[in-house]
Amino acid sequence: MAQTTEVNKRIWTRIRSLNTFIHDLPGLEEEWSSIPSGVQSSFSLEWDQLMTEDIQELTECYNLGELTEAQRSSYRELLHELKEVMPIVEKLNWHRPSVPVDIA
Amino acid sequence: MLGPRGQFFDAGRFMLEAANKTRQLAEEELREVLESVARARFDPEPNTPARGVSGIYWQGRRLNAADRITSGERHYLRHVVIREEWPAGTTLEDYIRSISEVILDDRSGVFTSLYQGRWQLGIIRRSESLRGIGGAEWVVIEYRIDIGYWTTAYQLQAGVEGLMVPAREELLWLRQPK
Repeated sequence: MAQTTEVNKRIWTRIRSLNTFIHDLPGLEEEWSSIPSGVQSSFSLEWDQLMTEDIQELTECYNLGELTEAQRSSYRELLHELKEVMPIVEKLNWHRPSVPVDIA
Repeated sequence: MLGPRGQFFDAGRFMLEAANKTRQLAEEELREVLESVARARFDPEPNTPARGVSGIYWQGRRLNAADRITSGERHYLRHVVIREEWPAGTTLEDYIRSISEVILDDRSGVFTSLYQGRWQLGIIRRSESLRGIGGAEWVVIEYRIDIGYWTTAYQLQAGVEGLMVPAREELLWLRQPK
């Protein structure tokens, strides 16, 4: 039971982490040229983490039926939002998602 | 700064020469390099947009996305507060201290790589007691050689394989993780 609660919490943490970053991505792109290159590297490294680890983990849980209904809904919404920001991702030449974003 | 043999020690030059394979660092030279990196910390200037951490209450105010905070603050808020990669109760000072400890740990792997065209020194070690509920098997720290600051410190499940992202080239191990 405690383990289920931990997994549940971890999944919400991943969803929230992706949501907050994706939500702020258009604003980040607008101010990108005014940001020092070291800070740009930090954001890019973080995006790598989100695209190689988090989205992969959520997708596996989704495919295995391990997400609650509310999490499944949030995951599909997340993919939709990810698809929306793909032009920015392309423009910044960032890591493309390692999973298809078209299942939403 | 004087190096292990009493000569002037330029850690950045040593790192670049190691990355370019024109110098093989002796154990004591690598130690000096890592001590220098451990002291570097994140850039202390408040030049980092609070993107990805907006809405959080920090230092008595609710952060707006366009606010500028320090890189260390933003990394702490992302990786410790939002993602819970470090154990609950970890403070900013604890987070910074844990990074320095991993850098100086003899079990940590050390590598150089070209990330988006800039040389970086990376350190990777198993997270062990640093792992929080949202954490992962490994802690990764990256240091940008040309600016002399840490650029990230986070936890990674995939370990060494997870470092192989398209933006990274020419990864070279100076010491394998134990």
